Amino acid sequence: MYDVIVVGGGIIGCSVAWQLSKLEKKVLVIERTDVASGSAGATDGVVGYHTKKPGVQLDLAVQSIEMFKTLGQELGMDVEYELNAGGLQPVEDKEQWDMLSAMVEEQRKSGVDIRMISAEEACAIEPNLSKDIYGALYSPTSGKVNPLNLTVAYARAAKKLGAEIMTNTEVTGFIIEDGRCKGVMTSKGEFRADAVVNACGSWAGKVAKLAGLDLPIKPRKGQLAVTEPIGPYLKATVQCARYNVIKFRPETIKDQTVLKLGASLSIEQTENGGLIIGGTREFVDYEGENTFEGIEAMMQRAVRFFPALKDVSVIRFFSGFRPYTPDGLSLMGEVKTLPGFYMAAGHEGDGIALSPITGKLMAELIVYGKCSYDISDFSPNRFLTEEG
Amino acid sequence: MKIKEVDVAVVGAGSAGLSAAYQAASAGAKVLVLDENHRPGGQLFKQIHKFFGSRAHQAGTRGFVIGQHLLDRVQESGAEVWLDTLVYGMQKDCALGVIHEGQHWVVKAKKVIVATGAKENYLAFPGSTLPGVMGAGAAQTMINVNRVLPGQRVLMLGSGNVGLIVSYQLMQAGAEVVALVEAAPNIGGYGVHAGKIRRAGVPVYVSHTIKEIRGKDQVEQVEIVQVDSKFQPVPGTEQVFDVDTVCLAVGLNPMTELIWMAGCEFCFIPAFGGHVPLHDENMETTVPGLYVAGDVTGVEEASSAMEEGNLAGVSAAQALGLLTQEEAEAKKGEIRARLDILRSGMFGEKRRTAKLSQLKSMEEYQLKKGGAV
Repeated sequence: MYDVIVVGGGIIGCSVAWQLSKLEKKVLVIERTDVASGSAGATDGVVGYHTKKPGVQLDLAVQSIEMFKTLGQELGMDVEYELNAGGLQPVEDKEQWDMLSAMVEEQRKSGVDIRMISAEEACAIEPNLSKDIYGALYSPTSGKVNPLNLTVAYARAAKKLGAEIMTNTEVTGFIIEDGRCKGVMTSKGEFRADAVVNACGSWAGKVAKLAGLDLPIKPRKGQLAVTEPIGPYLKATVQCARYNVIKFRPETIKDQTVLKLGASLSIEQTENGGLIIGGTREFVDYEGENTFEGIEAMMQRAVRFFPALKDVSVIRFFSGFRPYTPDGLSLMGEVKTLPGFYMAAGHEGDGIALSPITGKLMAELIVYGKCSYDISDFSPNRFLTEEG
Repeated sequence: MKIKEVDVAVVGAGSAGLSAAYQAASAGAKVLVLDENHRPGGQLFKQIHKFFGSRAHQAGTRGFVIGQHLLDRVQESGAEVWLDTLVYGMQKDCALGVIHEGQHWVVKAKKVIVATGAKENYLAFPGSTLPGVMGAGAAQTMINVNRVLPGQRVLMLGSGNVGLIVSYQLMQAGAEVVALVEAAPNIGGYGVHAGKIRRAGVPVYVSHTIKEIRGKDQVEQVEIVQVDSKFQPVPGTEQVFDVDTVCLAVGLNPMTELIWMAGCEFCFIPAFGGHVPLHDENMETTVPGLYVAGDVTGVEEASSAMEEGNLAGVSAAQALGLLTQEEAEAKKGEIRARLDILRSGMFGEKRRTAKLSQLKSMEEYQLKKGGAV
């Protein structure tokens, strides 16, 4: 018998498990394959403010990024966190400039330093950036982290405090008695607990269905490339302005191919020198193959903004799923129609940055019944239909 | 992104790839051959020695001459050849991602034949990353293709046919081979090649290996040591040679990256150099329409590679309806008979057993798959 069962050994599930363990709860994590085998192991590590939707999502990010400052120390493992690496979004034309400027006005209301800067200023910050830009968005206090290390660090820290992590175990259903969720049925038998957390990321919608819930979390494929290690090339994480436009104002994109592929650029240099290049967002169900079309779009964007990359070799391509929700906000909280069943999923591209705060607030909610910070805007109940 | 549509795409313009292209194009298929090198022919143009075997396998002819004949035949057959062309990926539907003349192409072929060959194994020991340490095949390319001597004083590690032949060719090119070192108690390659080395006075150290290589910015000295029957170094047996080049001839492994991407099933056969794709009697893999030929199916030698290429080319043409069953079976029968001869005798037996186990794994896979459906 456990206090809490967390379904999903990704970055959110492991963070929740760690925080619950810190509050002395007996936790079991059930993972279909292995820790960080889903999105957490197939993404870049942007920990930025400027890529967050203005309003409650950004307010939450502010709380979360504050936690990053001491996270590696608390977890007892190097997670390659780089505070103040900076976040930069080069802008290509006046239309993008106006759109981002308006977003920045909204984002600044959360009290973070995000501003529009000139092309010269942007190139002074990142000298390898193409001079052929209109200007840039700049967020000096944004950082980056190694998401794979971070997930493993959460898992190890949780285990040290007594949590059990059961890998290669698939959840096949939920134990529901007297209208409450009392545990899970798995490929390795039944396990009971007072509370169950669905932290299955892009698969959270499918898993919720096993409990009879219809929640609109959909997988959105992101293709990535990793290059050979090179010398110091890039300090900030860089997304082209189209990244935010696709994320927040997709209706303004006219090119249908760009829209279908969600083709923008997200690039960062990891501690070992390799560059992680990403930037597609596609709705293709769970089809996770790299495509020549996607690869070409990404590589063209990368060379467009960083011309010297044309001579750098790509070691391999890979892809990951991002858990999309219709309103761009994650689902965090107890499902009112099924007491004991909690959601902690649907962070789309923000899961890495929001993992510390998600773990903390979910643990508080489960243990104390309320959080130190109001997350009612993220309640899964907003998607429940009348009869559901 | 430009699209190129053909009947048959062949990846690799070496012994196997050119043979496959010739067979498919002769049967009337629209064939495109892709190779990343500046010149076609793969390893054949490095082979300045005479080949062995039967008349059917052009025994007594030097490798580069065989390569030239093959190239002439391919050109006459009408197959198109793209050189300096990188195939960087394959989708599950066998579409190929290609960089050709600075452009991004996607090649869509009804049948794809992968004949990417093999790459040299490497050994790690102290000093193994110093400039002057190289694969024996790389040294052979330098002297026989590019006419550049890699160094003056060479130590060769490995006494298989590659180690023996390249040692001799290095001497022909003007280098001094100071020693041939072999970890096994006996020389691995053919006696006729070993004899040439011995007659030239090269000291051969069997049951020895390299302990370390020393040098500031490049190879200056190499220290070898005797090994016991369990291949453990025997202290006190060290010897030092002044050299500027160390060649490693320690085997090859199939270049299977592309076919892994396509989702082929593999088996592990050490005699073939590691993981090799399952394929049937027609060289077709577990991915329908995807064929393999040559060293990528398991490291053998050039004559077998050519025959496997012939087999894959005929099979692809037959699958496209360009050859009748009778025509194709007649051709395939002749090719398989020649392959059997190549895989017989003292040196061929091991490869024959390996190939049989590979074909058997394919049968088991097909049975299992058939059962599941």
